[in-house]
Amino acid sequence: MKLISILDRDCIYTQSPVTTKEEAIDLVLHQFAARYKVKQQTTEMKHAILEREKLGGTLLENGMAVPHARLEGFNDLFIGIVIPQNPVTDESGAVITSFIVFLTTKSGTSLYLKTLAAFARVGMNTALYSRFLSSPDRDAVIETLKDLYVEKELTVKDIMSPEVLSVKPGQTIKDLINLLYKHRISYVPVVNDGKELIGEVNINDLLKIGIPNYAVMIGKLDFLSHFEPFEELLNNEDKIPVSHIMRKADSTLLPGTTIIETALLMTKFNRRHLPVVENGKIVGVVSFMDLLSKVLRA
Amino acid sequence: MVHIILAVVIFVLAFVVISFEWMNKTIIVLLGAVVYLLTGILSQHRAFESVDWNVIFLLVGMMIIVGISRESGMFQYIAVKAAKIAKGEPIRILLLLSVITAIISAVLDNVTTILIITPVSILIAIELGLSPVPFIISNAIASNIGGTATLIGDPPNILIGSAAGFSFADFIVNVAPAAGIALAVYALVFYLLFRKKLKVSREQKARIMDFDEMKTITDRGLLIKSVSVIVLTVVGFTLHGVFHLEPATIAIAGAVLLMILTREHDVDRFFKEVEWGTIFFFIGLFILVEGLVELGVVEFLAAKSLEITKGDLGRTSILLLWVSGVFSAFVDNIPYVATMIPLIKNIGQQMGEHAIDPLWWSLSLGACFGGNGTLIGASANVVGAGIAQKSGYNISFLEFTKYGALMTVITLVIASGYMYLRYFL
Repeated sequence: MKLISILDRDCIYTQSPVTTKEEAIDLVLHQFAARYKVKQQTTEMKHAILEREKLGGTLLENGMAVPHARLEGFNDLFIGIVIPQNPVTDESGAVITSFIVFLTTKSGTSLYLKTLAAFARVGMNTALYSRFLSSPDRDAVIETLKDLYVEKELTVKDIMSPEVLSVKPGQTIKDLINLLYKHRISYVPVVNDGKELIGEVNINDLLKIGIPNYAVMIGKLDFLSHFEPFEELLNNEDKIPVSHIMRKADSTLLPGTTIIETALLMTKFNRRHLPVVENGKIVGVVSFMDLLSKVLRA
Repeated sequence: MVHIILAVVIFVLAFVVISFEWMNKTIIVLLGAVVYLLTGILSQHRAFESVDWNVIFLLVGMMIIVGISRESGMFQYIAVKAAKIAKGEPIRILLLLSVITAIISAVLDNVTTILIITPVSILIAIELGLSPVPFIISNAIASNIGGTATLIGDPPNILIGSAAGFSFADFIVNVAPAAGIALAVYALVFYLLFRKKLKVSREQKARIMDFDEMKTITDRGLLIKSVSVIVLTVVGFTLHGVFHLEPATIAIAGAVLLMILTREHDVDRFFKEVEWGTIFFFIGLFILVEGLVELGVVEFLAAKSLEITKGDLGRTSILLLWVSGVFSAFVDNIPYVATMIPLIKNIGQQMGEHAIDPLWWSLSLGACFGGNGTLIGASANVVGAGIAQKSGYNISFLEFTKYGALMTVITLVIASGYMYLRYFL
C-alpha cells in the first residue's frame, strides 16, 4: 500500500516553530487525543514515549527521529510528522531534523515496522529527504512521499547495514585484524574486485589460527602452566592471506528475504551475521543486533 | 563360469579401488555386495548369514566403551603423567609414550589411541622445542605392534579370533609374546636412532615438569567408571573362553554397563560414538568374501597354495607370514585378512583343524606387523600423519616408510624366528 494512505494529512506539521523534542511530541499527542478515544491521558502517553526514548536508538540516519509508544487498548497506527523550522538538538546533543511520532498497538508489529522501514528509506535517500525537510506545507509533504510504498512484508533490505566493509582474499590477516579493530566489528564478507561475494570471515576464524590443531584435539589445555597465546598468529599476521582462513559463505540472504527466514537461518546455523547478496554482489550485512534493535526493539 | 568371472572381477576391482582410495571403502564394498545380490551370485539369505556378528558386535561394543571413556580425560592424564615420570627427558618421553600407546592399542582400537595420544605427544615435543615428527611416527608404529598382541587389539585379530574360534587367552599365549619381543626391540632401535638427536635444555625439561596432569581430567566420576568398566571388560575377555562366552558378549556387556553407569543415559550420543561406516565396511566385506567361497574360488586357491608349499606346514607358515606382511604394507590389512580366512579354513579341512593353528598366528603377526611397512599400511599411520599435517608438520610417504619399513622387516624377522622356535623346532 502507499505510504501516504496511512498518513493523516492533518497530523503533518511543516516549518514548525518547535525547539525541543517534548514540544514536538506534545504537538502530535494533542492531535491524537482530539481524534481517538483512549483510556490513557496525554501525559501518560508522553511518559511512555519518553521512557522508550531513554532506551535510545530512535534516531535514524540524517537526523530523522522516530519517537514512539505502544498503547494498551489502541488498535491502530497513528503517525504524526513534525518538521521543525530549525534542527532541534536533544539532551544528548544529537541533531534532529524531523520527528516522525508513532503510536501503535501493544503487540502488533508488522504494519508499524513496515511503515517505519518506509520512513527509514526516506531518511537514507539524501535527495528525497532534503526535499521532504524543505516542504513548505502539508501537501508538499504528501507530494514528496507519494511514490513510497509500505511493503507487504518487512524484509532484509529494511534492516541490513547497506554500507558494507569488506576484505579481498589477497589482503593479509594483519589488514583484517586492523579493519575489525578500527571499526569494532566482528565480521566482514570477503569480496573480489567486482564486489562479488566469495567468502566470509569473523573473529573466530582469526582466533583459530592462534590455536594449533593438536591443541584443538586435546580439547583442554589448562594443564599447561604457560602457553604463549597467538604466538603463531602474531608472528605471521602479515604473511597469511585472508583466503587462507575465510569460509565459504554458505548461507546468504537476498534483499527481499523475510525477517522470519533471516531469524531462522541465524538460529539454525548459530550465526551472528549473514551477508546480503544481489546478483552475486554483496549489498549489505544483517547482524543479529539488527534483529534486536530494528525488529524486537524498533 | 560367468558368475565366477564376474565375482572375481568385482572382488579384485573393489580391492584395487580400496587400495588406491579412489572411492570411500565402505561404499565400494557395499556396492560390490549389492552387485553380488542383484546378479544372483549370492542370495540375500546367504549374504546375511555370512556376516560374522561376533565381529560386528565386538566392534560396536568396544567403540561405545571407548567413545564414552575418552570424554573423561583419562588417556591425556596417562600421557602427561608419563612425560613427567620421564622427567622431561625427550628420548625417555618418546619411548614411554610409545609403550603406553602400544599397551592402550592392545586393548582399544589403534586409531582411537592415536587420536588421543598423538596430539599430546605433539604438544610435548613442541614444548620441548623439538620436531614432533619422530614422536608421531613412533606412536603409530608402537600402536600397530601393540595392537598385534591381543584378540581385540587390531581388526585382523578380531576377524581371525572369531573365524577360528580362538579366545582372548589363546592370543595372549600365542601372539602376545612375539608382540612383546617386537616392542622391546622396537624401543631399542628407536633409542639408538634418536638418542643423540633429541637433546634439550634443562629449562625445556622444566616446562614439562610444570604440567599439572590432574587438570587433564575432565570428569572424575566418569574416569573412575570408565577405568572400572575397561578393567572389568579386559578381565571378562581373559576369562571368556573359560565361561564359553563369545568376545562380542563381553564387549556388549561392558558397553551396556558403562551406559548404565553414566548419569545422563544419552543413548543417541553413545551410539554416535560407533563408526557406522567401519561397521558397514565389515558387513560388505563379509558378503564379498562369502561370494568367492560359494563359487569355489577360495577352495581352488587353497589347493593351489598347498601345491606350492607341498603341504609343509612350517614352510607354509613362514611364507604366509611374509606374504601377509608385504601385502599389508600396501593394502588395507582388513580385507586381506577377511579374504585369507576362508582360504586357511579350507587348508585346515585338508590338513586337520588344529594342525593349522600356527597358520592363523602367522596371518595375525604378518598382517599386523605389515601395517607398519608404509605410511598407507595401517589406519593408525594415516591418521597420525593427518594430525601432523593439520598441525603444520608434513610427514611424507618416504619419511614414514624409512622407519616403518625398517621396523616391519625387523619385526617380521622376529616373528619368523618366534614361529620357527615355538611351533616347528
